[in-house]
Amino acid sequence: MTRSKARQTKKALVPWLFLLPAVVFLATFLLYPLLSALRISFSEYNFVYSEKPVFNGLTNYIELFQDRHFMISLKNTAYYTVVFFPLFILLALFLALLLNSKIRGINAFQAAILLPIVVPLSLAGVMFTWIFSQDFGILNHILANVLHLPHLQRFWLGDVETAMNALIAVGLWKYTGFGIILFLAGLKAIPVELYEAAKVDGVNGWQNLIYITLPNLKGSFSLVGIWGIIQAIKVYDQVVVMTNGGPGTATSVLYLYAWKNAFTFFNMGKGQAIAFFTAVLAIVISIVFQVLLRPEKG
Amino acid sequence: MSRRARVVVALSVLLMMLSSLGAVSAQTLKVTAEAWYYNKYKLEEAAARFQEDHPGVEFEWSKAGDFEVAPLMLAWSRDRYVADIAIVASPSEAVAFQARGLLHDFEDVLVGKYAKENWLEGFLEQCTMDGKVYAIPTDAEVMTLVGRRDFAAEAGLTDADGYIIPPKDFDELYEYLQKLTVKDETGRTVRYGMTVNWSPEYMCYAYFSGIQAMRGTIYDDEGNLDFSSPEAVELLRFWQRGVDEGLISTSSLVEHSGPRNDMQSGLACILWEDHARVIEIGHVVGPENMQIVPIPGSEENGTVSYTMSLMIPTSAEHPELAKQFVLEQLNAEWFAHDLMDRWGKLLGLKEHVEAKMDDPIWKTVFQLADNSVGLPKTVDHAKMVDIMTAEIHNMLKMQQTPEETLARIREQIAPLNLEPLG
Amino acid sequence: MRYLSSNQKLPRALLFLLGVLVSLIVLSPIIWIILTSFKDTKEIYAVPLTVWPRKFVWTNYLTVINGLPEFPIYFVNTVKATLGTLLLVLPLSAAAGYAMGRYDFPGKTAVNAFIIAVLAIPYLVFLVPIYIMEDILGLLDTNLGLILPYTALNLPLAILIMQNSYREIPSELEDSARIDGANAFQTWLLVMTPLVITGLAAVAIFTFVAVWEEYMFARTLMFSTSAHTLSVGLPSLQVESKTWAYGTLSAALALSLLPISVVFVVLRKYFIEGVLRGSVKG
Repeated sequence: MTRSKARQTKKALVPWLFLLPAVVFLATFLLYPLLSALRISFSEYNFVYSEKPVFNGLTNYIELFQDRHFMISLKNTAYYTVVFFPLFILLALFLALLLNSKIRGINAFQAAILLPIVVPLSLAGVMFTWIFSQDFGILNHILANVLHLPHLQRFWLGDVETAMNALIAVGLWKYTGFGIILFLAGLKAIPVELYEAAKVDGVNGWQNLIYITLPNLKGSFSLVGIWGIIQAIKVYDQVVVMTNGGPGTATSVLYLYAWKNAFTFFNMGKGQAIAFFTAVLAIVISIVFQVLLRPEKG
Repeated sequence: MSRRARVVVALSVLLMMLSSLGAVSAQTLKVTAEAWYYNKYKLEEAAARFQEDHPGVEFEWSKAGDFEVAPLMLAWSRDRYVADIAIVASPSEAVAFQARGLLHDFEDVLVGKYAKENWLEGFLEQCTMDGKVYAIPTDAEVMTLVGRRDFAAEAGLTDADGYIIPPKDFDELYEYLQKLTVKDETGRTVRYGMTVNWSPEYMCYAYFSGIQAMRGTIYDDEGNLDFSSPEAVELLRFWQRGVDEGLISTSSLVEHSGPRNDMQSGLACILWEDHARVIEIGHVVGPENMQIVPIPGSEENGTVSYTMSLMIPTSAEHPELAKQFVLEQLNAEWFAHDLMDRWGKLLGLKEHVEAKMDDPIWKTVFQLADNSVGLPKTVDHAKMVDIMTAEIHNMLKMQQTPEETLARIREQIAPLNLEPLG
Repeated sequence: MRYLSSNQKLPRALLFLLGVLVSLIVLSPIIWIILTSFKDTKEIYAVPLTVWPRKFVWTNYLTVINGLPEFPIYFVNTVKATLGTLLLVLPLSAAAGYAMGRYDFPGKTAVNAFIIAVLAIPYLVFLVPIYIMEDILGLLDTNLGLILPYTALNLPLAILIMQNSYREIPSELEDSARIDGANAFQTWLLVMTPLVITGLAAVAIFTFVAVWEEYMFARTLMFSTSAHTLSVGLPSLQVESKTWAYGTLSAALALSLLPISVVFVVLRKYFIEGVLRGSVKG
């Protein structure tokens, strides 16, 4: 080996030495699991009864689409996403505009409105279970005794019509803050000159919003949108805590059904197949979204 | 041999001797159970009493999250979880461990006072696999109705002594519910005639206790679990109609403890759950107001019972000591009666119930227990429960008729492995 | 709002009221829990409900502190998992980010592609295989059993952020350090890393938030109450033996949310920065 070649090898070695610890972690806890997950999803594997996974091809995936409960979970996840998504975007945008204004107490408002970011979703689930309680919940109490609208009282988590919406409300409470932060960054990035020029032209506030603010937020919309959709597809924590999929199958979602298959029915193969299905769904949707809202070049 | 090697050998021999000495002097029993078990059972006192008789025994407690035993059992099923005594939800879950040879049997210690004939038969049978007893029942429960005598008296449903007259059949029970239910002027129920525990933990027991009481068996004509008989339709129709007309509370659809809370807060008059609640609720609403009401038909046809179980994994370090602790303390009279008095929970030995036969509650419970059946242990039990829960909840929420519900259950359980094991 | 003319007094007052209203709505669940935590059991289950406690009592807090031995355990486990993960993620991502941001070397594209790909995959996919792996390694039900997967799951994004942070540093600084005779390690640690503190802060914050609230892995990989974290342990207090104990639960919730809320209010700027940089991950 010549000297210069040795030096070159050494030079290539330096970054790898820096990288090594992280790469070991990624390989052990992400790459290897990913590969073994693929193998499991193509296997019949009852964790308690089977000695080891037995390859069964696409059976787990095919069985998913013959499984009523899976189809319902897919439908419920879609419902959650379709309701959550627009509300999430609108609320986040509206509150970001509010927090972007120069009013008194803005710091306090910001702290209050963003606080749910640090509240674990499962604990939010506990709080809201209590709030939605049929007999001892504050929500029904307010409806009946403060607003005098007793007919609006519901068994929020126990009725098929309201249970999923209640879970969506908790998701919105927890996640809107993330959307606000992304929109705020977008708002701050809009050049002030645009508004100043508009002012000279005598443009009013609402026209500003429609012709300057919103078009310039296109990148933020894409970011917030993808983020929101993925949170919706991944919905799990508050479902487990608040309804565990019930009543009946009314709030059964993909993550929950995957978990149940793996850790309640011990059917690791099927649980893993649902996990991959969900992953592909999330990835495809975010790609589609990105393409749709791609900011024009130039 | 070099000098150094000799020193090493000498040292290691010394170490081995020391460590074996240590093992003799301090035996530690590792006990693991769901967290709630520690709150209801006087385990620490049992341990203290055991230590008096067996000096030098130490205890180590470990708590699993409530209803989160599945991951624990998974680890155990791989023989990677070390415990001397494990207390798990039901023997039907234990069957998997037995099949893999992960359990010690109790055959050698079930002699004399503890001979098999001295145990409540139904419960011990649930702990028997392949002819051997692999678990000891603890927290044994009989499915039944328990009722509020004061509410029933208001509705004129009690006899001269103030006891609720047991309804003859489900039609009469329905009339009871209509009389017991109180609604406000808007038609909203303020007091339910009944509350049924349809949570996933109880669904199976609630359903099959109804079937057993009506038909005298939980199996259909072909020997499969019954999801097709006219009685099954009748039971589901009873439930659905009761919910639809505001006579039965659906609080259990969201919360496992919902029905108990209904009873404790006076929101419901009759509870369809296990017998133990009669005592537990009595502590809140007054024991004189509580009574066991057999499910219509169950006095002749029997009901369903279930039990939690104490098991000794083969990974246990002190299996013999563990067995001693289980029998001497966890089945001692003081332990059993404390549980019965505070929580209404039963242990397996007959003598503990027989000592309390002058109490009408325990007399009824004893009769029901004697005439009860357990559910079969199957590989796909959890999956079946999940399907039943989902479909019956959907029915209670008026998404489908009883007939459709049963058809959907049959269709979904068809591919499952529900062959009785052991 | 910038698009509204700032001289208009009326909209400003309206906006202020709106801010108060929205803040109250967002905070109402937490306020409700705090109020509940000061009521006695009788009042909690009273019909009709009272909003403001008739009498403030401390009993629920005393029950949590004296009668709920699980609570401090959950708390300590949560802190351990969070700190342990941070202690691994920060140096690992700084080192890896430095290599990726400042060097060209064979294999870099592959590593980069893997990181980007992994970011798109939901955690759920890793749950079963990691469970099986930890089962074999005996890591289930141990603090390390959470710290290791949390580190791995948070690393890709952390590396990406650190990579960008190091790349933005002008190369003159690095070159002059080299000329002064510093080796690669010294250059990284003493010259370059002090310049990417904001990046590290962002990594620390989003990792902290992610670990603090993680539920699914914590629920699956830990099964003893002695290993549970707050996000899993507190919800489990709802069941079986603990019925009729909403007062205690409210007090426990209030106590567990208090420290994190204070930290959030004080370090809000950094949280916002962390969330912003962390939002790349779905």
